[in-house]
Amino acid sequence: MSQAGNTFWVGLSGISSNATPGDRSNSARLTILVLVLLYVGVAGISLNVGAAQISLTNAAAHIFQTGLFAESSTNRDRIILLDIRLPRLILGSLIGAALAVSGAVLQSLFRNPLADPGLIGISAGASFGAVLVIVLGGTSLSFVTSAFGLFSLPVMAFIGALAVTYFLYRISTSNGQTSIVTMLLAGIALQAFAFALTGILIFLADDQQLRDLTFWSLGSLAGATWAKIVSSGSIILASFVVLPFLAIGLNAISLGEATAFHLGVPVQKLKTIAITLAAAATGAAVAVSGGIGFVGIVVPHLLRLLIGPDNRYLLPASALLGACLLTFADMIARTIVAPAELPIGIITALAGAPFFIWLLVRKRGVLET
Amino acid sequence: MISALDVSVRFGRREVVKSVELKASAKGITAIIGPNGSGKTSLLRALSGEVSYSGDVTINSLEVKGTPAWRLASERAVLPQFSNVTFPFTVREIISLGIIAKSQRVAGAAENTLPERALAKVGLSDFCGRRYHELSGGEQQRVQFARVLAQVWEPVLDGIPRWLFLDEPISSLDIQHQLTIMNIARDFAKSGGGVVAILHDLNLAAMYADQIVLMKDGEILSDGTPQKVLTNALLKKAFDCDLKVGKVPTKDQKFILPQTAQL
Repeated sequence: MSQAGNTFWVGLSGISSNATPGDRSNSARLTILVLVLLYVGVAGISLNVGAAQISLTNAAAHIFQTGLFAESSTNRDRIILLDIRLPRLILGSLIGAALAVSGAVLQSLFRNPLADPGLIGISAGASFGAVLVIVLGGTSLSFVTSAFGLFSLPVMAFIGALAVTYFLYRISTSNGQTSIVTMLLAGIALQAFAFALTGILIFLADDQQLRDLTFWSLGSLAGATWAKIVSSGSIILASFVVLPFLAIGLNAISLGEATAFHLGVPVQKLKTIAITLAAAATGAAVAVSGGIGFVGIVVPHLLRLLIGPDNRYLLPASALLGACLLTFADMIARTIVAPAELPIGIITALAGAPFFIWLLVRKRGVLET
Repeated sequence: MISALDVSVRFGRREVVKSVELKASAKGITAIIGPNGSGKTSLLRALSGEVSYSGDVTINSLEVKGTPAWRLASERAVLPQFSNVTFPFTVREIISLGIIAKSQRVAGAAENTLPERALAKVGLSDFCGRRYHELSGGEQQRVQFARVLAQVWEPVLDGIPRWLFLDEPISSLDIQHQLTIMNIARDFAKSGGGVVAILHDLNLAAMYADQIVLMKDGEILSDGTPQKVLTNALLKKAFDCDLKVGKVPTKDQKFILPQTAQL
């Protein structure tokens, strides 16, 4: 962030800070409000920008079916908006929010600022689950596809994500303390293992499946449809409904699992629910878009600098900023080499990796705090 | 009243607390003393419900085993030996975590000022806005003590005493603040609450404790008033070194001086 940007934020929090030192809830609420406005802006621009020019007022008219400006627009615009850009915006926002919130939840739960679904193998586990469906869905796993139908991909991705998260937790935690180093190393091992299994499946795949796999694994929102919003989006939304109830418990876990228990938090139950929801959200996101890295680590980090680590504000703020970030990244992905598209995972990694390194250098104690 | 009947704690094959019987009364300070590795912390963890144990533990006749966390949190607060905070919380945010158990029942307006009042008690007024990670070790320990105090702010609730479980509460503190913290514990007990504290400073145990529990190898070697427990023979047996127990001239209070032949 630039110097001017910093001054802006300090000034902004100054307006809202009252006489209660150490209480950051007012500046957190203000930040959330700013993020809502930012999202509305980014979403509006995203609907407007693309290979076809559609004005904002017409876009609004189409979406709300007012017919107010209908004569000045064509049926083509309507299809582009309602069947291409709008589902893509919604899906991108949900996925960005899911990845950012999963990152924030896992970081609190593992008491580890480096817990990102993409870095520690959770996304790789989800990918394996999704590839299983793509390659074996028609043959040995046809019972899965017939049982879950539209939901097969997100459900299997969720199971893959959950399996990796569970193993990570069991491997790296003893006596309620999670070892950061053990967890990162175990994450690398599990990621390699999941990639290897995925590799076997790719080896087995036929030509049509290989095409499907390639498009899927590039990490793109290009295939966004209302059907995908129903299958993956509903899983993501369901986890968002429950997660806010875990915020205070997750705060308490920052003092250690034993202390959280002493404070009245049902720690085992909280961990089970939080891991399941984070894995579900990550799995559903990966099922649609393939691996999109760094959103889960960059967004919560940035927000902790602005509003502090209180999950009551961090979780909704992460959802909003994650949605803004992915919507913006997708806008770049589909315009920068138009009419072709860059995979969105490339954009988030290009921007996220240097930013993450900047965070590490700026605050060398990040591993200890 | 806290009562432990035939309580054992195992870690793997090792039994670290061996069929301990213990009773501790409210309105007093019970000090647990003993050498390193004698099972003091494990016993306190069993009393607080943190580790699984065999036998029976009751707090105010509430069976600890099987009682939900939120219910236990309204009966007792626990200061662990080490506190490790993951993210950059402010001091106010840390102390506010002490009152997440809704059974706290501090009157509405009072809840907002509770962090300040708890901090003032431990001599850290004006620390609310500070970052926890930027404090010294001793200041962090006092903040944690203030958090624990906030959890059971009223020593007696509906006529039932509440409990402070303290695992080495003064291990990083200077002598002035050791006395500050012990005096707060003393006041808490005088107001009707109960205190169980693991202490390494035998002189402070002699000064403040109403009951002393001396542990060795997972068993209770002696349990009773300071007069009964703090004797040359018992301390030699527990700590395996020479200690001289004396009596403060004008008071009915003992003091302990270490002896060594190497000087």
